[in-house]
Amino acid sequence: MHFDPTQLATPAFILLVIAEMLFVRFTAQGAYEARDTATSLLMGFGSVIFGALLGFIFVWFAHLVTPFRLANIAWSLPAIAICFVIDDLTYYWWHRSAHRVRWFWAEHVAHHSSQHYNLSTALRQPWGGFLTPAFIFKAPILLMGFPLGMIALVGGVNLVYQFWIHTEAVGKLPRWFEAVMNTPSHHRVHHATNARYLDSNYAGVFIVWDRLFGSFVEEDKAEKPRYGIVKNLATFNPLKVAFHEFVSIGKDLLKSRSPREIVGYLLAPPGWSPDGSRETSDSIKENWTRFRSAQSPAE
Amino acid sequence: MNQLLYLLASLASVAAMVGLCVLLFGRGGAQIDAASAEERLRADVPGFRSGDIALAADSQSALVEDAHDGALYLITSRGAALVTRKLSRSFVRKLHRDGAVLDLLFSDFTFPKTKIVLAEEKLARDWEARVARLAA
Repeated sequence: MHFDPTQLATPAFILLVIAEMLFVRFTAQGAYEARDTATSLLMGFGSVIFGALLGFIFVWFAHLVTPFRLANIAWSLPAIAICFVIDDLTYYWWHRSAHRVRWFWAEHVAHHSSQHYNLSTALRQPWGGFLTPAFIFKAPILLMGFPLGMIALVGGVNLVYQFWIHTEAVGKLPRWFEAVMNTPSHHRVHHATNARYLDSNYAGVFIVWDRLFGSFVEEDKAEKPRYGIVKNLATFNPLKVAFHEFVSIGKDLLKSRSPREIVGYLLAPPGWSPDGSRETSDSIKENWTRFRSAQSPAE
Repeated sequence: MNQLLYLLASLASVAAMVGLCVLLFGRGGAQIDAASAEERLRADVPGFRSGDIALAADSQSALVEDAHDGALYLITSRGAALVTRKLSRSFVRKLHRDGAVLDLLFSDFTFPKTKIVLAEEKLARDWEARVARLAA
């Protein structure tokens, strides 16, 4: 059975992007910019190509793991539901790592590189997955015995869910929904570079993982998110967007002088440097907190 | 064959959506003035206090001093958004002045060469000296 939710949803993606463009044009709630949108859409297109060409890596890994499976779970609706929830949990940990480990961030940064936040940003997908061992995050769910096709299916549904939350056109949703599900409000916080919002809300579908693991931050009406990355890119070139951080890692590795530096440049949080001269999200938060305290010592 | 058609249809959709985006939102980029430069740097740099500022004649870039610690920042327009960088010796690979024009080349390959045409040669000479004195 071949059922690709992402491929099936593509016409809806296109129609919704067009609908949001019209909405933004007539309400000014959100923003679009042609070159930024072009980059996002080309990144989405390219990721399909890279996925088709290099998807075999995941299949190869799955076959490698198969002999060690603890069970053989058959296709059924309850199995699909459980697989979906577990896959979303593994997504959370992959996503958290993608923000905290520079090697993984090198791939994921492409998705965050737009200074705009709209439905086209959802399609700004990375191309460099084959340069990271991200597939190892699928090992637990494979070892549990869920069929490869089921894992691919729920992963696709997860990705499709995440499309609609990339928008400024939707405000807060009913409290019960915001409590359990990832929403546009929660994900705006995730894409924000404001110090208070950095490294938060990693959820794919269920925001409960962030609440559970201490990474949840509520969107504050008083502080509008600013989107992008800490050092925003001054280019719309999709190749540079996709691979610039890998190039930076390569340059740092070439000048590293010890195993500690090699490990640090690869596995420490983005912005780590041996002498601490660069900024990590933690140091940015510290500076911001210090600055705020100095501004209002009475607080 | 189906996959090829799918890819071609996707490319056509991309082109159509970008076309629609141009139609709806135009092609104009962000303009930089003293207020927008200061606002952006205040957002990007905790504690930033605007000091001297040199605006490019085309409003596409500016050099700004942080009065708080004397650091220098470059701010440029990229599409509808602004991009800032702290200028350091490791970031600025080459600096060249020709009259009132400053040419800056950077070690970051995602940051294009920037030409800043300032109002007068004296101003350009002053900022050339400031950038040349940068700390590592």
